[in-house]
Amino acid sequence: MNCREAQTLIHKELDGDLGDDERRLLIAHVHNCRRCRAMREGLHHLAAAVRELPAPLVPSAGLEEAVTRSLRRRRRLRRTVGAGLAAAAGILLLLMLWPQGTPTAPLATGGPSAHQAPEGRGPGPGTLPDLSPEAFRAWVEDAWEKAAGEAGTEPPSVEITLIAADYKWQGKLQRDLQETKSALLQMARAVGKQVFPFELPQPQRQGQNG
Amino acid sequence: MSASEDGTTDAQLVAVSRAGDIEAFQELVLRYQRRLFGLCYRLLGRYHDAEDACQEAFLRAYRALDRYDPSRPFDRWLLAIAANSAVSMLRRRRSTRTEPELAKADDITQTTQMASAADQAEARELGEAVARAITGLADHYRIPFVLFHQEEMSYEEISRALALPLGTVKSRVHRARERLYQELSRAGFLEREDRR
Repeated sequence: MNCREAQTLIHKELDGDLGDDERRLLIAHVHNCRRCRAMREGLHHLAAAVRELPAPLVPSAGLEEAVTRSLRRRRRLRRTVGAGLAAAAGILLLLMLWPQGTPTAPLATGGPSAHQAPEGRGPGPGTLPDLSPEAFRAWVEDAWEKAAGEAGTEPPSVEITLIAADYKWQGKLQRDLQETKSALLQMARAVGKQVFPFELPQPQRQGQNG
Repeated sequence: MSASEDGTTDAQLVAVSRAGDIEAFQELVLRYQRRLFGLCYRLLGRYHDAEDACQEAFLRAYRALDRYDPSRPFDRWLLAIAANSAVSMLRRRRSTRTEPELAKADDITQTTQMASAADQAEARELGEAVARAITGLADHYRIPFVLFHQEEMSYEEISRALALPLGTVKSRVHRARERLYQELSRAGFLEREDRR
């Protein structure tokens, strides 16, 4: 066996692939070859030193939370998109019904008949009884469950404050109904960051003349 | 709910996660985040990049749970995904011409100093030299070497994770070993055995 063959066997040994016959040949060679013996021992020493290297720094405490948050966001998004088409009319109506300029006022919205209204043409504020935030939430949850049922998905966990929290959507929707889809996606990203009872921010005036 | 406290196995957590239970997957994240982070950090050498790659690996794993073969150990499967994520990040980093890795040896040195007692100076010195030498390897040698020797992945696992032929992985690990051996021997770090 020459040195080159011996070195191949040294690597096989470190790989854990060396057969008994090969081991005997290798040992016989390194017994007589100082260079290969040094290399064999040095490589084993190296491999041990590498295994002994300390673990690197640890991840920050927020890593697991960030992963979970992403998964939850993704699930909501997926469900929203899944139910989105079926729910689009209801959500659109919800947005259209939101009374402009009276963010903390009780909502003028409808019960079951409301989300059966023609898309984009919900009844105007004042034509339906006022609802408390809780009643409003319950109505939206019903609408979501119904939409999700129709879409064959699990009912999403609905935290709908943010639907209404961004008044820009209403303006946009009044200008261009085609943005419904985009509004749904935005909502899905935002969902879950607020809990009831909610307080609405001041409405943004942009788009209100649309 | 803490699945680890009642001795839930990985396989059970995977099964529940597959059904959409994020809390179950969260438990798997808790179990393996340090290990995955360690792998990503060794490959990437930057804390934040390692965290990003680690996070990406978990998200990819979650999305791929349906394709996971329960007859294989979950941790090996996860490590392969993490290796792949880290390598993808290295490629992105190259393509965006980010600064070369700077902190790797220093960080490892820092942890070594923290972990070592004063009477382990020699081992520490060797560890630092080995860490520096590994850092100095070209990525195509360093990555398979780290995966094989530090992460103890098999050649088959590395081959799958890096999408490289098995023979290529082996020859790169062998080359990496030889280069490290030469460099460290020249510097006198592996000569103790040579003198015999």
